[in-house]
Amino acid sequence: MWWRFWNRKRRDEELEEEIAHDLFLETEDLVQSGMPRREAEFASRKDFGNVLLVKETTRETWSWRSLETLAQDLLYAARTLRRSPGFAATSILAVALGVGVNSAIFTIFDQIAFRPLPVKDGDRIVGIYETFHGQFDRKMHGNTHMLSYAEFQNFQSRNRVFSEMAAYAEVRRLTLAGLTPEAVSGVLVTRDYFKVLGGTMILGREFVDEELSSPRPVAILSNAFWQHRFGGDPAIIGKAIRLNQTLFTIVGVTAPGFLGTTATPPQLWLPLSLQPVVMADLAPPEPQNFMAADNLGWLSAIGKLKPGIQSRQARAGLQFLAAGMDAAYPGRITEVGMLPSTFLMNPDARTVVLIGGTLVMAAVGLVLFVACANVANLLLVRATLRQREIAIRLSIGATRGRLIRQLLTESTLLAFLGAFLGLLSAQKALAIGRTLAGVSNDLSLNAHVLAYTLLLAVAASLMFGLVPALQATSPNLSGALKEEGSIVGRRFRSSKLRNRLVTLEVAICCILLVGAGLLVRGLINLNSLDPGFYVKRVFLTSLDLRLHNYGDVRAAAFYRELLARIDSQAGVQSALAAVTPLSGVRMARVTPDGEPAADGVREANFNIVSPNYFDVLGIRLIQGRNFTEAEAGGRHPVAIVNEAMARAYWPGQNALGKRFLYGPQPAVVIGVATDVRSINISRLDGPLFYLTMNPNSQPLAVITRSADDRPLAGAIQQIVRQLDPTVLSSVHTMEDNLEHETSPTRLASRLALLLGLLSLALAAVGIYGVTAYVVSQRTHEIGVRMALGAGRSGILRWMISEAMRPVCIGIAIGLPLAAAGSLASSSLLLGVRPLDPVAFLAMAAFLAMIALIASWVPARRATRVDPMIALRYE
Amino acid sequence: MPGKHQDPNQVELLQGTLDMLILRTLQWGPQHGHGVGQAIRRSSADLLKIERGSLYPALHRLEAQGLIASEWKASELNRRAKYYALTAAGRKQLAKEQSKWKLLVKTIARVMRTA
Repeated sequence: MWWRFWNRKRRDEELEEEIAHDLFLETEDLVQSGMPRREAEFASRKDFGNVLLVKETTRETWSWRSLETLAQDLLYAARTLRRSPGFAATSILAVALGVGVNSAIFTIFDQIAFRPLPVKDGDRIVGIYETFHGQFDRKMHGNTHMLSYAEFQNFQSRNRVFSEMAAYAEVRRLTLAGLTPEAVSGVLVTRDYFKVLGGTMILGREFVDEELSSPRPVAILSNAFWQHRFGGDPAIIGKAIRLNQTLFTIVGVTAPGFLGTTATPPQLWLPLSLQPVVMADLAPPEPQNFMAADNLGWLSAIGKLKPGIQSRQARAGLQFLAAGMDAAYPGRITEVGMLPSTFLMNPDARTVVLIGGTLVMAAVGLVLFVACANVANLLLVRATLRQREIAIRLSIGATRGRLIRQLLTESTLLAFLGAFLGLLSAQKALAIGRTLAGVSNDLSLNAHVLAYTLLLAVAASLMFGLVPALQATSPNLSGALKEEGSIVGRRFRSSKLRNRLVTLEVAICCILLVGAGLLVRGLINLNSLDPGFYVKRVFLTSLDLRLHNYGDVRAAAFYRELLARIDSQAGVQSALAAVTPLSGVRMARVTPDGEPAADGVREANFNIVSPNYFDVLGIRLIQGRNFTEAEAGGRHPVAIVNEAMARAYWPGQNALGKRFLYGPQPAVVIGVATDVRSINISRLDGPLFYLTMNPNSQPLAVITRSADDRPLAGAIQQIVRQLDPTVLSSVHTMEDNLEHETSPTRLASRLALLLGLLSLALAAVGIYGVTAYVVSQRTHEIGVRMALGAGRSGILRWMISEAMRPVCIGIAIGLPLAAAGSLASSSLLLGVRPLDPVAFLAMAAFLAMIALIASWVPARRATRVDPMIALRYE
Repeated sequence: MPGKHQDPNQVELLQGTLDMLILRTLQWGPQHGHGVGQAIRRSSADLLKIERGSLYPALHRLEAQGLIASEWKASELNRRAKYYALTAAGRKQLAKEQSKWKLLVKTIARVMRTA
């Protein structure tokens, strides 16, 4: 690089000499023709024209000219920035904030939704799903797009488009026994799962055919889990771990960096044939063995395309096979779909994440916009200060394009320095966040993120650089040189632009703050909401006696004894239930009045409870009666329905005594319970019915309510141990369930609040900057007013009202925009109406208050102007 | 603006012909920038005056294109001067431009005659 500068310098000198020689010869000619030397020198110079311009246009012809100019402009820009470190630091920091937030959020978004799976040939791997049309009846465990085992086998054995295929299903409820039992997650996989993903074992082996054809309790550990739970034990292969009371032999450990296909990497992988073992907590009417159920969707599938096969061809191939399967289910049409391999291959979840992600990206984009408006403002102020410099450069022959290029180079330099800093901080923050959250996902820098950040930097530099550059160089230079003159008009024009930028900042800030306000209000409402049942002092104990080979009779005895011992403590009362509130649902097909389902099948949620369930949780029965102990002991076809179900199935009638079928089983309604929020805290339950225990339906959870604040968890666990030391119990509280339920809202509101405050800080800096500048520019005017008798408070009011005008306009623009956005995304708001007046008004007031402070600080300076000094100035 | 008061008899240089004129001037031997300008002026009987703002960029452009080469030599008044000379490529280019020019002149003349 350096030789170029040296070379350039020499060429410059040569050009100088060439021109000097030309002038010299011209002068000599004139002297010889009899002109006095002084006059000749002047005449030759005049004849030559603008030496600088000739030099400049000549330099333009040098082939590496544009690069040279860039280097020159960059050097010049760097020097200018170094001369005003305050301005440079503020701008770079603002850009870094804006770009950093964007880059960080994009990294997460990209990692989940766009980045191909980080495996060998990840771009050759596709996810396969099914969508059903027409009249059909399909069971599912997971989501509607999943495959049944039979469908997967059909695809796997008969397709000609994939070199390998694999299917998998997540299992979340696994308990690893040990000194402290640990909840772990696993993924059930078919044999070729690791082969498709090119995952290798650091120890041991992959699963083999025998382990898939018949259930054998073997497991492969993830590398991270092996490291942190087993200390990287090199002799782990062949050792046993106890999962849900079954002993599993460890046959392999994956190589580091292998994360599988699920968004949250599991701790272990199990052969698919173990599904009945690890999902033994499923109660009828759900099937026990998923692999044998041909019409049960529960599997996600992946395949590696054969070389030369496009995913379109692959889909056509599978579509053909799917049509064959539809023959067995008249009226059903299966449509095969494919997605490129990412951590998000379920189309429903993908849609949700894409919508949510787009909203978040829009919000962070707005923050960057505010940051850019701020920098644009600072640049406008600077342009005013540099007016003389620019005017001089224009008058000695610089073209406007050249000056704009110079100014844009400066703003681009700012943008790139800021973006670089932002990228660094985003990477740092992500690394820290990753450790704090214990995520093993790879969030490091990649080409996507780098390209996105670069794009942001370019966009930012244009956003804040172009307008000030155009304005600063507007061809109006004659006045600028005359010191005063048109400066007033110019100042007026640029101050109008600055006010517009403040308006823009405030409007955006208002949108973000209102969004945050709505989410926070929703969260507060959710937490203070009465779900219709007791939340405080309620303990939920889950046990799984099924996994201990307890028969139904033995289990019933175990629970009787357990409840008796727990309830022997003063003020404690326990009930049994298949599902605890806010932890999941069971669904069944319901046909009212025993009629066959004519006009489509209706579904309702159900729970299986002991008679005192309603008592313990404080759910009122508004009609009929509760289950009796006798009913709980035998097989009585009785049910209690909630109000929503009574309304939906027997509108305008008394539900008591009505009959219905759930699945194939009959039931008669003996009571009606109030509607509560047991499924989703943000709304009352839909149709729901309660059945009571029968000897064949083992409960899964004990619900215990205490009259005082005693912590019961330890005591309950001890009682379980006394009864059977091998049984594992986990105790948590109803509040835990509630917290888990609201965690997405909590996360969203935190993020929104962070972004809102960030943009508020930026807007406050903007308002402060503009007011301070106006005060410094109007010192003279303020002096005159004071000399004419204006009071200090009058001056203060005047300055603040000047500053607050764009703020008020910004709020007036921002509020309706926020309302429109809120209405458009109302489905994402929980626990609050989209036009909640408190959120809107409180946030507008908060914003106005901060703006007032931001303008009051510099405006106060105006009141300290000494009229005498101000008038003598200039 | 340089050269404001122009001789009314002077003719405007046709766009794109300056390069050809420079090459033609250098056909008689190496010359420095001032000399090239003077030569064109003299051979056009003062009807063509080349602005330095066009001349020097053109010289440097032709040099960058490899049509002319430069060398620093002592000038007639014993000062260091940059002399430009035609290269082989420049000679070929000049021949091409000349025949193109002749054709153009002939064609235009014919059109103007019949009009």
